[in-house]
Amino acid sequence: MAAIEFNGKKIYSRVLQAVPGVSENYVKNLINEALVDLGQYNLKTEYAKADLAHNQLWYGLADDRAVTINKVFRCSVLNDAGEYIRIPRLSNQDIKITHTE
Amino acid sequence: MAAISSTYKDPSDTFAWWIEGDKIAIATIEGDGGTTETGRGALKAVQLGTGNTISNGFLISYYAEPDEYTDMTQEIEIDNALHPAIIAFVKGKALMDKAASTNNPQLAQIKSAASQACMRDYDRLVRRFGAKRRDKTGGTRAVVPADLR
Repeated sequence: MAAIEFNGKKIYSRVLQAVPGVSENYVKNLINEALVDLGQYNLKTEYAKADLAHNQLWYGLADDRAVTINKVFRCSVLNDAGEYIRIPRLSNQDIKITHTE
Repeated sequence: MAAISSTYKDPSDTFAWWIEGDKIAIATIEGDGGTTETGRGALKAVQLGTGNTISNGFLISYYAEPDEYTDMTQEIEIDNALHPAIIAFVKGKALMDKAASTNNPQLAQIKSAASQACMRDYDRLVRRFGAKRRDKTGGTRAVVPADLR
């Protein structure tokens, strides 16, 4: 935890100095709007695991899933020793048409 | 659906991934059969035998969006260097809304100017945050020897 942090209540009290009379819910909505705007920067790095399924080439990354992914930058596959080994990324021009797509 | 253990020795040699739209593709040249679709060689989906899966068989690292802020007493889950930027953003937007809803043109102008100042402050803080991150992670990683010819 950082030494000095602002939560919603503290931000609300600061905003009231500049704009008296605004509601807490309104400020909360604006905080979320700010977070959406800041979401375009690489603020939060996370990882997720999923099952490798037989004959499945595509795995969903849609926003309606449990995680909200901005950009995948690394992918690893489990080896026989139980370690995740980083695999290479194909750039668009290198993608081949596959038999089981 | 049966969970099986991974038998891949070195996936970095035989696997590849790419992104298309909101899907990630994981393909391999490893196979478990004798046909073009299942044998070793062609890039294809993993072949594990019908109905089989490898539990937690792959791991992705990604940049995520911050979660929705719902409780005003909880901490905001982004770097605290950006908290002043959020304050500037909220003040700027609130002042903009107030300026739009007032009937007094002079007051509207003052609020509008204050709003623009807050949004400029927001932009400056976000830019500075970006510079700070580059400062933490950027810089020379290798020294190129001088050409003595």
